[in-house]
Amino acid sequence: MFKEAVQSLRKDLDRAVCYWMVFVLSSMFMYLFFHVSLSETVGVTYIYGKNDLPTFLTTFDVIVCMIVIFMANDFYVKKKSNELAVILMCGGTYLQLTQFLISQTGILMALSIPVGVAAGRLCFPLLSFVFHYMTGQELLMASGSQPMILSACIIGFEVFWCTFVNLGYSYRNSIYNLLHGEQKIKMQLPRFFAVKILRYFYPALYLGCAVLLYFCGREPEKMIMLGVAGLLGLCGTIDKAVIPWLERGSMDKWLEDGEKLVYMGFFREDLKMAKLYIIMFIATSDILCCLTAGMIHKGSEFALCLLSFFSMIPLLGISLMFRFASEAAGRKNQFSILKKIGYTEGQIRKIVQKELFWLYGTIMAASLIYILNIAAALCIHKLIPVAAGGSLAVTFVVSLTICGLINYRYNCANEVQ
Amino acid sequence: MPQTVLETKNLTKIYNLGQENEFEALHRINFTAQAGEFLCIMGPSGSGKTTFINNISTIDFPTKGQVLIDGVEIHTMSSNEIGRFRSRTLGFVFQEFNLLGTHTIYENIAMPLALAKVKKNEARQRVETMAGQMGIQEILHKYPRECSGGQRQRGAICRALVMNPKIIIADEPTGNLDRRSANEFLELVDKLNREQAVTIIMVTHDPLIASYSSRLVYIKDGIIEQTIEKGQMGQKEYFWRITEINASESKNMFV
Repeated sequence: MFKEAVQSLRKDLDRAVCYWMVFVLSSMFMYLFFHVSLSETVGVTYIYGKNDLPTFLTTFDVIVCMIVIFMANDFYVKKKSNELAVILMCGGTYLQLTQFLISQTGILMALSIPVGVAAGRLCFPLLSFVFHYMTGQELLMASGSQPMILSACIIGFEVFWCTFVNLGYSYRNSIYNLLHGEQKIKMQLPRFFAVKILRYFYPALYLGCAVLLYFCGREPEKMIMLGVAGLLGLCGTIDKAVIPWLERGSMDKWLEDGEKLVYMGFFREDLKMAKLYIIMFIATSDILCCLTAGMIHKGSEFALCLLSFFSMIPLLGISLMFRFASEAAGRKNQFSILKKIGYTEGQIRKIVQKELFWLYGTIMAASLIYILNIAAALCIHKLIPVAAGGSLAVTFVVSLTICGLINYRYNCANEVQ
Repeated sequence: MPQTVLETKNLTKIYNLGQENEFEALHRINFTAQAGEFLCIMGPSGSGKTTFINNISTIDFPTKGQVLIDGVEIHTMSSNEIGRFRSRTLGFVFQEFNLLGTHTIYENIAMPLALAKVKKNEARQRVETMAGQMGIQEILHKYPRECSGGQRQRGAICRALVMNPKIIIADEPTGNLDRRSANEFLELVDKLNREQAVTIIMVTHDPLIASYSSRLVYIKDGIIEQTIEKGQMGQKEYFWRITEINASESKNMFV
């Protein structure tokens, strides 16, 4: 099984590299975070029972890293459905299946964690410089064994988490599910709920909560609640308004535009997948911004909040980028179908370009409505400086733009092959 | 005098050229297809049938020799011209359904029409008519993953035929269909061939399907080993001739 796992990794190298990178980055951020949050300057002391901001922040960041790994792992394993089904049909036991999957994640983790730790170590001077620039204080990295032990515990937990997820996946799926890994059973709501009103209710909820943020600028806890309600509105908006709009478009006005018909179809599929990432972007920004509020006079904590935002948003962006790069790796067959229909390489390139433009544009717009409004509400109530609010939005836009460009290059290279 | 729509001159296809595992799949094939012909290509597995139709349909390019479509050598065509040619002249039906999984059956069928900028009302009508002929109106709004193999293949057939192509290239088109669906497909292409003089080039293993053709080309080991014209033969007699050729392969094993 170990040999099979190595072969499977080699065969699916693009996806494996993406998964490996997610491990590297999350290990790096975790390692860095423990060194910062345990440093004397920041003064996190949760080990001695004092729960303050750095404790919440560290916990929150570790959870974000775990979710990112979970998403990457889930995607990676689901794409192995056919291989798993073949092993099962050849008489493989569940134990062998588990060995097959765990060997792959084990190899990737063994190769990524040392790289992540080394990269984190290399980032120390940069982090110290940023910290000094923001607060005027020197950032002393925590010394001693505590950060290393904590990092090791969390990374160990990360390994356990992925193993557990894979085990669960292998056990709960029958051959049928493995062969049809992408099939989903849709839950039908009673007709009463499926009324047209929902098409307007959800966007109203999403946008209404963004407006209400200004009335709660002094109470960050309420802003978090509004953020949660806004996310509900967003999910409903995508499912009940945006996707039906895309479906109507492809049945009517885009029927005369060969390129638009294709890229809007791709975008519709991408959007279903990107929904989770938009939720993560908004939730992370909402929580981090609200934690940052009121810390304006506490230099170290404030800097730590901002650093947290500056590291988590790019991590989520990179995770999104890998997800779409992996998706693009499976698009070769679709491009070849398009060529058979009569699409030229130039047209396919345009399709890739416009699909990514719509995808990243939508993610950016949907998330920025909240990020900008939260930042503006906090700035108006003088809970964070305007420069900090601006830098939050800039970090988000720059991260996503870079990820989008890399995705575009990768997709085009894929199309050319 | 019938017009030649497709011609190959010394068509040779070599895979992994210059490498250790170099393999010549097609050897200097000379072939012509006339407008309105219904051609069937048969041969044992691995004989080069799929390679041959990939080369004559611009999906792949020959290593040596020429492929001429309406007298134009495909090497001299730009990628835009080839794209336009595929979109307006060719209709592909393959054993693998070749539908975009991200799009509904309706969108898949409408794609060639959208590419050719057919007006939306006409496009809608053509998609619905074609779907009606193939009996898939109920699944038009479903995604391929939600349909059965037969339904997907009918969707792929609708997409191939919706542009009223001059040439239909089909590689084992009925491989995933039940007998009834296969017959419906055959009747449809036969009708297109008789009434609209559409040229059909079809690879199949089924002698019954091949018996609908006007000419059979038997490929073996990368060369055209035999060609049978239906001519004045009845379908039954033609069918037996085709069966004989296929059976001779097996008979040789006992000699």
